[in-house]
Amino acid sequence: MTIQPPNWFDVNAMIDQSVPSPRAKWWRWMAVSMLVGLLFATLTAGGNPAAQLALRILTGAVLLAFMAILVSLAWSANRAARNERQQIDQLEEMVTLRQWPAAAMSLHALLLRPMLNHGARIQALMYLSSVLGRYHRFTDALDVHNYLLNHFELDGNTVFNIRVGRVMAMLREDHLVDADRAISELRRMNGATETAAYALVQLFRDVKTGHAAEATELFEKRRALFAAQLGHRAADAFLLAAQAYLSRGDRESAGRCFHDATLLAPTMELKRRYPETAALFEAFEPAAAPLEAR
Amino acid sequence: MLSAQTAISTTRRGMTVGAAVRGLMWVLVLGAAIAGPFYRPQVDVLVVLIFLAGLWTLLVVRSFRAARLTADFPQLVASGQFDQAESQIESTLRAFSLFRPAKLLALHQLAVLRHAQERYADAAAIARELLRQRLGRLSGLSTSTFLILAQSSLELNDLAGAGQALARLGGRRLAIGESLNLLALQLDYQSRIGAWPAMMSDWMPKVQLAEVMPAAPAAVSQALLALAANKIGRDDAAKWLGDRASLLADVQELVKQRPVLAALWPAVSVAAVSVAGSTATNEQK
Repeated sequence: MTIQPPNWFDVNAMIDQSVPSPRAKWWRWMAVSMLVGLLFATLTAGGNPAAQLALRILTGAVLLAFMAILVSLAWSANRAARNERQQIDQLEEMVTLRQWPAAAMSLHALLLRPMLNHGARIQALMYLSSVLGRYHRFTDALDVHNYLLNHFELDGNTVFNIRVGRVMAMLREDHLVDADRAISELRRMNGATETAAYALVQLFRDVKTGHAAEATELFEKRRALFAAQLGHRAADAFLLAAQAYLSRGDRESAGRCFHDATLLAPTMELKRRYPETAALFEAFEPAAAPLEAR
Repeated sequence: MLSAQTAISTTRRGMTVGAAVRGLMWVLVLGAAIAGPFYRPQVDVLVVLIFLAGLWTLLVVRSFRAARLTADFPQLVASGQFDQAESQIESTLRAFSLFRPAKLLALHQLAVLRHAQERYADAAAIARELLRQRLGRLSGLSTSTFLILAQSSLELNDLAGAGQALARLGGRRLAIGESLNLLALQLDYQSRIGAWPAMMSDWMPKVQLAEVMPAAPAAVSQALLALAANKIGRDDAAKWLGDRASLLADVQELVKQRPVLAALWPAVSVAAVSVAGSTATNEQK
């Protein structure tokens, strides 16, 4: 089942328009003008007592005004930064809880205007790639991944996560050669081969390219790792392994893995994530679940 | 290592000194503004005010510098560099600061550190002290402080303290990480007091929340829900939840962590108990 994204989802515009704009410098000019004005008044006041009194009053008023302006600027900048931070926190919650339409709306509101903070923008773009994946917009998701990887110096974990997302998008778009190269890049990252995420993209590639024997061997070797590191997303690995077993004609193992996959994740969700496993849903019954979970 | 009591008294003293200096500065500013004109031309009010402003700026810079000492605290704790985190917190607590939030934030970080070090008695004492203070613009810290207090109390088997802390969190708007933490603690607490029907009331949203937890807490939470389902006669839910938990974690480990779960897997629990028993015997030998 393919769910259409909202028709206003213009990814290039979201990337371009969310670039933080340079900070306004008008207040610096204002401060310099005030100081020049005061200096001029001091020089021209001379020994005139009335002028000196007026100058003292003017100095006090200017300093007060300047302080008030600085305080209000700092306050409004602080409030805007806090609002942006809150929006990012809400986005994280929506993506984690798979509230996709709400996340898409929120991203639309956030990324079609200049953001204040580069770090927050990077996070928002990462959430955007997740939402695009949910709506099967893999080419757009790839654009976002490539933009993030090519334009920012990110820490190792973040780069790893983006690269994993990029490989999954490539595989979904059948860019198999690119995906294979991207998996090789992943393998060269420090500690990557010990992660379940890396094993999962390998498993998906093997299933996509029809290397069922390699896929089942990899699954058996990494089975414990999938559950320990992916939690309920281990359902993806079980589902792909079931597909590989079915391709090899091992219906018993395929049925067992399919049962475990559907025990960990809803059937509809799995069907949506991996349309290439459609045969499994025809061949086997999903795990029995209580009424509330169906 | 800084004891909880020392940290608390250092924080209180630091806040008192900061408040006294702030008060003194105000008195001096008002005094100069009001009394200054009577002493002219010997005393120029403007010069005095500029001097006080300079002094204030100096103290503010010093306070900010003290607060910056713990800026990389989250990274240190995440990477397990507890000693370095501790020495930074101690420096901040002992340094002069005009502002209460800097001291309270450092104390909160100490509670987080003690919790990460599994020194639950200290973590609980510091959390209680923090919750007694007016947190002002740090009020956002109160949620994580209550969570630390609840978990520390559970680890210390202080069920009344844990219950009170959890009750204070009810109805609050929580971030996703805090919601997950709260759910795990609530299930743990309710299983210890045997509140099985309460655990199973509106249980499916709890399961959905547990699904986004990392594997280990997801397994424990669903195993506890399975036990609750079992206790109230919902065998279908108990089997489904128990099977999910066993896919995510080693059942023997689960029973070792929470012996109450032995009721879910009787065959496994016998093995786990005998393994634990033989280990203890070997250690005694």
